[in-house]
Amino acid sequence: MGQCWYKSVIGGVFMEFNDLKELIELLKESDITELVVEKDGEKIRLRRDKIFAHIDQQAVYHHPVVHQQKQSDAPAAEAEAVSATTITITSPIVGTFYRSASPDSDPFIEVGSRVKKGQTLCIIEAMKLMNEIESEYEGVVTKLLVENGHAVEYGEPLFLIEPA
Amino acid sequence: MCAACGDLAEDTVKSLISSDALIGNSIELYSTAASTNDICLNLCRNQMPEGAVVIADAQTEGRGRLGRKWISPPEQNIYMSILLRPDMHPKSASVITLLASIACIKAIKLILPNLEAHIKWPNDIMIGHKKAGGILTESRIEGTKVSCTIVGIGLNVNMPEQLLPRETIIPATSILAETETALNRSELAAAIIKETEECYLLLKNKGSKAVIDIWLSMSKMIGSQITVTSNEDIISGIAEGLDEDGMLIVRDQIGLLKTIISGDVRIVSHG
Repeated sequence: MGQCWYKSVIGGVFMEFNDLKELIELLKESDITELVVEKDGEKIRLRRDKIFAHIDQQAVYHHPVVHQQKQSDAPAAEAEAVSATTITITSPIVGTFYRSASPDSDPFIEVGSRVKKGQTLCIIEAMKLMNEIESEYEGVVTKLLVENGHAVEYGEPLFLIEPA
Repeated sequence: MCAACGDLAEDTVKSLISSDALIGNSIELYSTAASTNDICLNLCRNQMPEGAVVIADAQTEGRGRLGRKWISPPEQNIYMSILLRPDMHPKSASVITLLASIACIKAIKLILPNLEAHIKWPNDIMIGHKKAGGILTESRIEGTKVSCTIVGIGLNVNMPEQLLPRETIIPATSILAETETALNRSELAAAIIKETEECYLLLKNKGSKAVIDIWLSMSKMIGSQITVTSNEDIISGIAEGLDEDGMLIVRDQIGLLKTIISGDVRIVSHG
């Protein structure tokens, strides 16, 4: 997926988001894949499919989560490939991930880059707000986990850093 | 730094805003700056408190989204950056980009109440179908804290029609080109500063929804047929509204609602 990121796949009429969230929660807690609600001549259809995962993520988005977490919180597959001290840098927001300030400029970091505290690691854009993500650690970048221009979700792992 | 560049004068701007104002508690005017956002970013690094304002008569490296060049000749326009330190989670800070566009529209309408100025999501300053101003907001994020947010405003004020940039995604215009009225830039800059403060305090005291409600009243695009382009993705549909964070909700051609986080929006036809 490119820069546009869709968090809802709700067909039919527009309604208040709080109401929609309640319906989404209902659907999530059940085994059903489709829910149709009719009210006052209006009809809402909710369907679980591939994109629905983003709605699930949006619900998580409202809960406080530590931005840069230790390896023990990273996906299990990564845990096997990296050392116990490796730090996973995660996204603090939903947005579009950029490795450089502009398409023509060099990436902020590469695998092997030595980073300092306060150094810009990447930019995540949301609504034309360019969020420069600063490193809270000193160390060496060992893995890049997201491609330039891709959408990232809240808490999504972005980089692995081996502390210096 | 300089004291005055034609109609743009530091003393005049200061005299038009309250002495105890939050935004504009410090104002620096430059005859030429590489980028007012870059100067403001240095103020951020030097622990300058929020509310500092940097204005330039001209920029040599004015920029927009994704490093696009913002044409910034002298003696014509407003290039201004405001340093904020919002005490909020990065997720909620995006609404600041809407806030700045509201401030610009309100300031313009104070001086020219009948001008057809409106906002295109998220924060393009439009006059009719043309773009008169843009806002580039840059934040620095430490962990889950916003250390500073720089709101950069580029507004084409007294730019003659023949000097307007031609190779733009959206046709460019200026207030002068649309109204044949030359405005005093100090007066307009002061009005933007005052309106930014009012809107920022509204955000702090009442939350995002209050800001989004004002934004909706100043945008003509809700109900319009639009296309959103970003990388290889193009979405066509009807602009339905904004969500609680200010993100754009679009109903696509098969009736699905999608939330747009970033991209270039083009209004195909007004609703």
